[in-house]
Parts: sequence; structure tokens; C-alpha cells
Amino acid sequence: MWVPALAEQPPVTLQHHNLCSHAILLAGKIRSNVASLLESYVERQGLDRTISLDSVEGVPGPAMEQGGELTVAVRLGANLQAYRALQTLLGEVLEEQGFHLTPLDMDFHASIQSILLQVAALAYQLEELLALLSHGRPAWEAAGPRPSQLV
Amino acid sequence: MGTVSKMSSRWSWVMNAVYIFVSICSLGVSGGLVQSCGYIIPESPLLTLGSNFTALCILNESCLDFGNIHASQIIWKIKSSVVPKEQYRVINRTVSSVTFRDTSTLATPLTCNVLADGQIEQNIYGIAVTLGLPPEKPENLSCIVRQMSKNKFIMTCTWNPGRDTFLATDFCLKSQWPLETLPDCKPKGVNNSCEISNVQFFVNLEVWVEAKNALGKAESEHINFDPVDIVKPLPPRILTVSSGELPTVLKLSWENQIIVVEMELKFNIRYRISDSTDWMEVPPEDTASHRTSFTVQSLKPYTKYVFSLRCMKKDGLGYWSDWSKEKSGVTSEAKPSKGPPLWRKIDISHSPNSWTVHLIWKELDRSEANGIILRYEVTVRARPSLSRPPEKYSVNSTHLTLNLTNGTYDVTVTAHNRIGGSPPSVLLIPASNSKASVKDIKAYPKDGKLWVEWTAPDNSVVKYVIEWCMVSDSSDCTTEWQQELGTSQSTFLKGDIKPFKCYLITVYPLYTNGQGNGQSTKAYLQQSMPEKGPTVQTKKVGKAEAVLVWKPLAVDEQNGFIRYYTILYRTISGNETAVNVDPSKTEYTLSSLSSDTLYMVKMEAHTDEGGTSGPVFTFTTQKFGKGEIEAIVVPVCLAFLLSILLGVLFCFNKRDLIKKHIWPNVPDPSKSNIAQWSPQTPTKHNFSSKDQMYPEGSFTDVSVVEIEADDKKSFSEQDLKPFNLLKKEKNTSEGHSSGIGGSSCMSSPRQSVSDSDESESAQNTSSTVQYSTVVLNGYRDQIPSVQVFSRSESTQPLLDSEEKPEDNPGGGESATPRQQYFKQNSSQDETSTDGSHFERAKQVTPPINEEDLVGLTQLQISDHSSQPCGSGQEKNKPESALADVLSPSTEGQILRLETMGINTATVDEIPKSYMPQTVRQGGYMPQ
Repeated sequence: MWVPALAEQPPVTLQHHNLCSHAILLAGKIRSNVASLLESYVERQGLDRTISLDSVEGVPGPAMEQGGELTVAVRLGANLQAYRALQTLLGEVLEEQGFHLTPLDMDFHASIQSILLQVAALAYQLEELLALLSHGRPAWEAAGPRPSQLV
Repeated sequence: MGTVSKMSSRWSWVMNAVYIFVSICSLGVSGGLVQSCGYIIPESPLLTLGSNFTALCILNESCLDFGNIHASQIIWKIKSSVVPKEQYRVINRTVSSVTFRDTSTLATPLTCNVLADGQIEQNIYGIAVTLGLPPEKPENLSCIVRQMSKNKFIMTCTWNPGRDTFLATDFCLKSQWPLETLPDCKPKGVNNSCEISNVQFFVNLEVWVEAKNALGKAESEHINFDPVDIVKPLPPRILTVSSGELPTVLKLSWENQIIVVEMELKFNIRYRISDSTDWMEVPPEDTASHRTSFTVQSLKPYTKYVFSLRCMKKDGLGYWSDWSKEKSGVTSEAKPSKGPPLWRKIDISHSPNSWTVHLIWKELDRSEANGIILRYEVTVRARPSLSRPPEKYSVNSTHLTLNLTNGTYDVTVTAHNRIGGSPPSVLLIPASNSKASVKDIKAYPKDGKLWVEWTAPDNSVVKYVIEWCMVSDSSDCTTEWQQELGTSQSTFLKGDIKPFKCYLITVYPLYTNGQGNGQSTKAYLQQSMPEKGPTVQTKKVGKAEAVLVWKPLAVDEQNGFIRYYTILYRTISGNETAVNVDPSKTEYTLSSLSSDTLYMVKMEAHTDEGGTSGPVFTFTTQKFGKGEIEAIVVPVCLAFLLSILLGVLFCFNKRDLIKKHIWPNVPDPSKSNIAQWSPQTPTKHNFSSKDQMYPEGSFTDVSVVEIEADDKKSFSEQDLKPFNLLKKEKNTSEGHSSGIGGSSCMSSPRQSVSDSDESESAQNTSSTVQYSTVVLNGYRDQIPSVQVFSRSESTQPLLDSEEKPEDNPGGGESATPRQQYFKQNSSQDETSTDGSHFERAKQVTPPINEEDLVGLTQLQISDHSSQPCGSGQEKNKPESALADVLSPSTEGQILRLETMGINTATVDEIPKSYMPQTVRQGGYMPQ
């Protein structure tokens, strides 16, 4: 019965909580869906299943590795940057698959598109969280161009 | 003149019309392919229903020159209806307007027309008017996300599109994230729902509906939601239902169709026994967390259960899934929960000191057996238990037959399955049913079952046994039974109880130390009309009543309790009369019936549900009642007999008078002297008796005694006595030989003999005479020219005098004394003997006597019969005359006339006289 309890909280805190909750759930869903997508991708591309995703070109490393001294805002900003990069890469993959590699595999394209949307949504939620934390302009303006503009 | 002027004006009008038409057409053609004489503004307007509308019809200047047309001549029409001129307005010479305050009265097309020459209507222009409404604001927008597969969700939003706009209206479902607008969803084929296939969870979505047509657009309220909160997930898929160690639990495991990262679920689990339709549900709070298995408890052992479950988002947002496919499982076995119901049947027919006891018990219900029953163990203990050790039996069936000596026994039966044995069922078999029985047993149908109700006896009852069987004429009463607790006072029969069948139900109370007598009743589960009605017949039919009989219906035909019979009877034309009769009767007497009337009667048997009629029987009442005929016939017969008796007596008393009137003395012509003239005597007769009576040669010496009439009295009575005796004999023989003698007054020949005996009448003589008509002297003193001899047609035997001559060819006259006769001897010794009485009865009718006398006088034949015996002189005269006549004609024959038997002193006793008859052999006697 957390909803009534949250209802008693100030609106900003409630919005913050909802955003956090949604972001966490969405991040988990993205992770699950990306894992499935990765399997499909590896299968379609004929790649080695032992492929390491720890370091992908263009994707920032995990913020936690940089130490606990970073603030929440900084960590959120790093995450946002990483998801932006993922969004961009997924866009590229989708374009590449749709136009060149698997133009007829619409389910695969739909899966990529679904994750792409979720990543975009998560990025938006992270921006909102940053905005709430900083009470300033959305962080994406500082983090770089919006993924929608990239795709 | 007037006619000519009218004709000329009509022709001028036609010419003008043609001119205008040609002008308009030529104008149109010359100006282009189609160029009208005017136009309407606005062109093809789209109007809102109910709004104002004004149209202008503008005439071209060029038309005005040719047709002399003016805007005032314009007529507006909607389809073919003229718009009222009140709505027109002539703006100038070339422009006319029409105004509609409410466009709902408009229709398409709206045309502008002109009246050329005041009469010819010519269309100038027309427009199509489109009417409609702007869209209303869509209401009640709601969305649901349905899970189609593990990774596929479809969001369906529905709304109320509002009123019909009569125009093409587009609806569009719009959605957007806070910073991104998502693609629109356009309904396909409908206007109130749309489906979005690309649904993303955990992002708030703003959704609204936009409706748009030519007259405007409207937008619904915007709704915001996270699609994950409106999900209707797919139901879980049950994998297994497995039993555990405990016989009362089953473990259910399933697979969820939605991944946990998308949402966590809660569940509802329901279950039922496989042969039941009633679902039970696991408490929801027990399944409110995300899981993939659950153990259901408190189940019955060895019972098949069916499970189903559903799910929804754990926080309660969204919708419940559909129920999953059912899956069943069976719990483990346990020991039987109770012993089998036990009862007995006792045959005591073998010997008075021993019984054949059939122990019977029922199989346990599945819910009681808790497994597969493998065997039953039966223990029989005699009371007192010390007398004999208990006997034990192990049987696989549900019955056991024992031969026991009379006494009281305790019987226990336990059922065993793989796990163990049941509690024992105990039955006391007492030596006699001496305990109290139940009272007021009733049986009635209720709720489709046959209920039995009774009043318990005063003593405490351990249990009751209810026996029942179906009563039928065609089959034996096969007994079924059931047990009930001692506390119950009613139950329903647990068996295949059929409707329309009679059941005999008996309730036995069982005590701890004995058993009560059974009390019985009969009942039907469902009654109906009887299968057929009774066949009625008459046992006895009277004048005003009829006794009807019928056979009671067989039990199988009754279909219920026969409450009463109805006898329906009527005449052919009469009203039907109905009589209700008690069903216990088989006979009824209909009374007050009409006599000699055809009645039709039939009979109906009635149950509570109605009656069925039997065949019609007809009968006719009698014309006379019992004894009526006898009452009429017997008196009539008596009266008839009495009248006959009186008549006989009267005849007897008046016999002389009657004889005088209806049976007068007829003279015997054969005895007339003229018989001697007969050329021959008939030879037909042969009376041997005569031969015997007059043997040949009996009259060898005939002497003729001439008796003077005056000498009659000189014969002494002694001399005449022998002749009287002979006369008597003769009369008797004649009575035997002739059937005619006593024809008078219904007297018999025997009677005539007796009469002759009494009266010595000449009836016998006359009865044996061949009657002839002898016409000697004509009628009424007319003298016939020829004497006619006519032979009678009678076949009666002739008198002795006629028969004798040929029968006795050599015989002489018998010397048998006769009262009066003539005796004739022939040369051939033929003797014809004839005794003729000269009856002197006074009752001889005078006319006959007179005629006879006249005839005889003419023939010179004396007829003594006509003479009274007392007048001796008159008697002698004929005799003398006869002798004179006969003497010369009978050559060589000596006619000897003897007058005998004249011994009568009174009139009644005067013997009748016969005419002397002379017979010649071989011919008829001349008469």
C-alpha cells in the first residue's frame, strides 16, 4: 500500500519516486529485452556467443567503477550519456538491419525498435530525474544532442 | 370571334416559349460547351443542420436581352418542391436570394428556375447542398493492454464517438510521451476504438482522441497512464498437479506468461472435485505474491480434483487474466472413513429352528472409501457371546449368506483398502422384532426426490433402515434399502426412483438391543394420468337400472393413486351424466334409466394428475321390468284357460242344443232302399274283422219275421236284451274304427262312444257313412228328371253294411244281435250285414227330416229315423212299404226286416235308426 503513503508526500517527492521507480523497472526491462535481442543479433550475425559487451566502442563505462565519491547527479548524468549512446547505436543497428542485413526480418526490427523506444524512454526519465535533482535545465542539453535527433 | 382570339393568343404563347427556349440554348452553346443563363452562390455549400442559409441566384446579362427575363421571375425549388416566395428577395434585376432559417428543411438539389413568359418554367442553375453536423467531443476514453504472447502486448483504446454527424468524420487516437509524440492510431472500419501494437511499459503515456469532419473537429479529454498499469495478462499455464505424502494435499505448479521484469503478479486458485461443478477457491491472500507453485490443502483423500488459476498485476492495477486451462490431480489414499451400511434378509422357510441370513452391505462412497476397497471382513457373534466363539469371514463381494440357528447375533463388517480398515459397521439380528416401530410413516415427492417421513418411537433408535421396492404386476418386488441415522426422521430414497411407479416403502427402527417391526406406505415419485381407463361391462340390465362391473386397473397401468372412478353414461341424444365411484368398488348400479333405451357408458380412472377414459360400452335397457311380463301373461293365460273351461262346461251342458245346430243328424244314404239298385258294390274294403265277426255260414238259416208295427210292443224286454248288448258292442267297435264319430262339440271319438253309450244315438253310424248327395226329388218340390247318384269324396270307411258284402264272400249274415238292422242274404251266400238304428230322437232337425222323408217317400223307402220311436204306427208304415218295394227287386233274396232294440221308454234313450242298406257284391250300392 505504498500509493497512499506516497500520496501524503510532497508532489515533488512523489514525482521523484515515481520517476525512480519507473526508471528502475524500465532499466530492468531494457536489460532483459537487450539480452534477448543480443542473442538474436549474435545468432543472425553469426557472431561468437562469448562476445564481451563490457567494452563497446562509443559506450561509456559503468559509472560505479569510477568510485563512490561521485554524486548521484553525476552518476545519473553518466548513465544518461551511456543510454544516449546505446540509443544511437541501436538506431544504427536498426538502420543497418532494415536496409542492408535483414530487410525482411520484421520481428527482429520490431524488437530493436522496441528496445530503442525503451532506451529513449529511460533516457527521458533520467533527464527528468536530473532535472528534479538539479532544479535546473534538463541535463540532456548538457549531455549532448537528443537521441531522437540522432535517429 | 372570341374563339379565334383565344386560339391566336395560345399560338403566340407557344411561339414565345419556343423562342425563349431556343434563345437560352443558343446562348448556352455559343458561350461555351455549357454555359447557363445564371448561377447560384454559394456553389455546393456544406451546411450545418439547423443553421441559417441564404443562396443567391444571379442571372447573366446576356440572358436578359434574349428572354426579357427579370430576377422577379426566379423560382427557387428544393428537389421538385417550390420554396415559398416569402423566402425570396429580389435584390436587383439579375439577383434573387432565398433564405432558410433552418437548414434541416433543406434538401438537395436546390435549383434556381425562371418563369418565361409568365408560364414556362426553365431551370437556370442548381446546387447540391450538403448537410451535416460537426463531430462531438469523444467521451469515455479508456484503454486496456492485452497480452497476446510473452513479448507482445496490444493496447486497445475505446471511446464514445458521439452523435452521427451525417458527414465523413475521421477519428484519430493520439498518444505521446512527455517529450515525444507517438504515431497516431487510426481506426479501421470503426469509429470508436483503435489498437496500438507497440506498447512500452514504465513510461507515462498521454492519450486522447481527435474527431474531425468538414464542419469541424473535437478532441476528447487527455488521459495519462503507464501502459503497464492497464495490462490484462495471459493466464498462467499449469504444468503439474501432484499429490504428496499427505492424502489431503495437492501441489500445483505453473508457468507465468509475463516476465517478472515487466510486472509481478498475484493469483487466484480455484478447484473442484472432478464430478462436481462447484468451485472452491484458495484464499486470495495466500496467493497475493508472485510465484509459480502452490500447495492446496484440506482436500479429501483419494479424490480427483480439478484446478484452474488466473493472475493480474501484483499491485492490483490492470485486469485479471482469464482462467487458465484446467488440470486435474488425485489425492493419495487413506483408510476408509466409515463402515459400509449393513442390513440383512432372513429366510425362515427351511426349518423353524434355523435361519438363512443374507447379510448385505453397500459399497462405500468414493468419499468414504478413501481408496480402492480390497476386501470386507465380517464377524458374526452369537449372544450371549460366551456361548460360541465369533465367526470371521473375509469376502470380496457385498453379501454373505449364513445359516444360523434361531437367536440373537451381532454382525460387524469392516471395509479394507490399501491403507487400512474402516470403522466397523454393526448390525444386531434379534431373535424377534419385539421393539417399538415407527409411527405415521408418510412418503411424498419433493424436489424431484421421494421423501419418507416418520415419527420416531419413544425409545432411542440407533439407526433406521428404509426398504423400498417397486410394486409391479409383471415383476417381483426387488427390495432396495438404505440406512439413516437414528436422529433423523425423514430422508429421501437414494436410488433410481422412477416416475409413475408405485413404491412400497418400509421403515425399520434399529435399537441397540433389538429391532422394531417395519411400517410401510406406498408412494409415487411422480404421478400421471392412468395409462388407460377401466373396461366397463354390464353385469345385469333391467328396465330402469343396469349393473356395471369393471376390473380394477393393474398397478402398472395406474401411474398414480386412483382417487376415484367416474362413470359417464348417456343416451345417443342425451346429455352425459357422470357419477364418481369409490376406487375400491368394482361394481355400480346405474338407476333411473329410461326403458328400452340405448345407453353408452364409459369409465374414467382418476389420479391426482387427471383421468383417462376407458372404452365405450353400449347397452340397451329392457322394455319390461322384471316380473312385468309374468304379471301380464299369467293372468291372461289363466283367463284364457278359465274361459275355455267355462266354454267346455257350457258346451257340455248345452251339447244337445249345440249338436242340434251345428251337427244335425244326417241320414245315411247307404241305408236307403235305393241302395239295392246299385249295380255293384265297391270292393275296396276288406275288413277281416267282419269275417271274424260274421263267419261264413253263420247265417245259414235266415228267417224273416214280419213284425207289425203294432206288434212292437209285443217283444218282451227279455227278448230284446241280447240285442241291446250287441248294439253296445257294435257302437264300441265303431268308435274305434272311425275318427269321425265324435266331431261334434269338440268331443272325441271315445267321447262319442261314451255318448253313444249313454244316448244310444246314431252318431256313430252316421259318422261312418259315406256321405252322398242323393237328389231324388229336386229342391223345393222340384222333380228332377234324372236320378243322380253321387259318390261322396269322403275317405271315411264305410259302414259295416257297405263293407261287408265283398269282405265276406261266402259268409252269411252274422247272427250277432243288433238293435235294428236289415239283413240281406244272397244266393252266393254273400251276406251284407248292416245294423241300422232307427233313431227316434226328438232332436232330429225337422227340415232335414222332412226332406229325407220326402225323398224317401218318393223312393218308397221308409226312414225310421225321422220317425219318433213312440209313434209305432208311423214306424211300421215305412217298413212295410220298404218291404214291398224291395221284394220284387231282389231276385231270390229274402229281405228280412227285423226291428229290434225298440225298447226305449224315454226320448233320450230312443235308439237311433239307420236306413236299411242292401249291398250287392261287386258294385256300389244304389242310393
